[in-house]
Amino acid sequence: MKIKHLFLLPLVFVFACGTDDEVVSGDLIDISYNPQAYTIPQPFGYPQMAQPSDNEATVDGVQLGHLLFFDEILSVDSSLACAGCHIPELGFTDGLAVSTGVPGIEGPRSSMSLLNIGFVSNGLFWDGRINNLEAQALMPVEDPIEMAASWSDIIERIQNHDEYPALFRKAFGIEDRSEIDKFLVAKAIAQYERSLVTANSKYDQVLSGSSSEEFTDEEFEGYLMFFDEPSAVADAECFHCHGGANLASNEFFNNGLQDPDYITDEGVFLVTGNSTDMGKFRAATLRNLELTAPYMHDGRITSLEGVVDFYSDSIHIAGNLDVNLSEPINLSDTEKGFLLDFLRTLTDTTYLNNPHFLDPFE
Amino acid sequence: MFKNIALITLVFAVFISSCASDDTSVTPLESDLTIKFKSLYGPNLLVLGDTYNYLDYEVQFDKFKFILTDLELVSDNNEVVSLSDVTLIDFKDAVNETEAAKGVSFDFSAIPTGNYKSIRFTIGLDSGYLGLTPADFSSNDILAQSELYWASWGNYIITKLEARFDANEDGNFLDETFQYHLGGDEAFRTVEKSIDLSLILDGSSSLDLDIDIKDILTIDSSLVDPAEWSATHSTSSVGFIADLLDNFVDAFENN
Repeated sequence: MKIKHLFLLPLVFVFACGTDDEVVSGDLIDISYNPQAYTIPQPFGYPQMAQPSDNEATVDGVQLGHLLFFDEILSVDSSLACAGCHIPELGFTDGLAVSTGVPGIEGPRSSMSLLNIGFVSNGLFWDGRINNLEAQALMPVEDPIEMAASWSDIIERIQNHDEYPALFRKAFGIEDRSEIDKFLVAKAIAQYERSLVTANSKYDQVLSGSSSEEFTDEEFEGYLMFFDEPSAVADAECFHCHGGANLASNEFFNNGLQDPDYITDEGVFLVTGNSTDMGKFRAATLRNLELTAPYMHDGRITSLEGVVDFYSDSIHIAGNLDVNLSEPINLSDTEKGFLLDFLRTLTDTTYLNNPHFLDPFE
Repeated sequence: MFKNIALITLVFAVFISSCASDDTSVTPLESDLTIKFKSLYGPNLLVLGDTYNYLDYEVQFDKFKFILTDLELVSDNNEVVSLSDVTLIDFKDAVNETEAAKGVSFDFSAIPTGNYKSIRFTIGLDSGYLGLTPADFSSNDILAQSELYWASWGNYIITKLEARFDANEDGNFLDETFQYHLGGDEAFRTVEKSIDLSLILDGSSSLDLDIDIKDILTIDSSLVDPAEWSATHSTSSVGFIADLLDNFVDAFENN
């Protein structure tokens, strides 16, 4: 248990000794509730982010979510926060092939970046099994291989916390700390996650003309390859699955990563049961690729060079392999270099200068 | 005295109230309607991943979706009832016979009662959408979806039809493939189908529209050969795209 949570102990003791009669109804009512809408940025080329009507971001809601996201209070032994698997410096991934939860057990899949996650609109996770961020935020707390806690314990901790009840009042207008529940926790975290918007890479600056940045010749060739623009170099077919402003897709694909005779993760099939979904996964955003190694749903490819080599030369032929990958691309070393140069223009570390993206407890 | 005044006031109020009620609470004559789109491959339901004969190949279809706009009913009196602006018809769930038979359904309520002679819609996005991009929409809007927009052409992809082919019956369906992603400034076609639809007060009716992929893929009386056209990604595809879109117009049947 970290020092920052030791102050909880006296509170827990006091509440444990208290009787029901001593609970004061409406104990937060004297704290002002004045919600101010939080403006979620809309970077160049992005749509306006849709928000659920019952959880539109507010300044106080996002601030509360920021604290909760980085607070280890949400795990069974107060050792792991959401940010433990979504580390800002690693593009809100964790740098591991597959994430490790509180008990030290490895999960089956790699942590996904949360940057610009609010723009995803067709299911979350690698297999799209959850519809929205509010529902997603409920899951890790009780997952035995993630935070391994029980919501009842977590809510008790938060209700008895010195500061959180007042912050929940400001965020959601509750009148009594007993109104804090897992759904409000999830709402606050979801608000914060929607606020994690950044798009200030060299690629963005070139496209938007927001600076004097220009692609090098090599980067430009890679750009042409990525988007199958007419050029003397090969089409790399990337944009079919990694298109749009977020360089991602709301569709799911079998990209030939797994040998169909040795499928280790059935992907979307586990959700739908449809054989056509066997081995399909989300085409995750390619933004900040340099920060988010290792790659793929199980982190089996450790380097960006390895990813390009895979798509160029090593795709497995599966029955439902995406048709855009049916022809071997077979890039030359020079072409691979062009593509890598372009992919590196997608790196944006400017958000790391903004405390909003960083651990508020440090 | 006061009792009498109160009584008179009450009677007057009731009178006024009843008159007002008659004047303002006109019961709208409305009905509900379900429109169901089903995809076919010739006489068969189209099931994604199932195998069909196609020229000298066996074919499996992976994806079939299209943008449909300005869905309207036209009454016998030529009154037009607008049902929806932009709709995505995506047959992604048609992975078995049961789901394929369910099709893609849309429920509409509060449709004026009466007799309707046709249903009208546009395949694709007409000139009113030119210049718009996903950035002009909310992220949960159909037209915000990145997979439906091709930045290189500055246009929406208004239909995606993808398939794979086995040329020699060895079970390898990657001998040929096609990815027909249709778009362009002129990539829209208006479809109007005759119907015989009578909507009655508080009724619930349904209208089935079947679309046959074979009709879409038949040009000059023959199915398109995937070896000849595997994709529609270049400007040289414009004529081919137009042919496929023209075929959409006659590919719908009302059953």
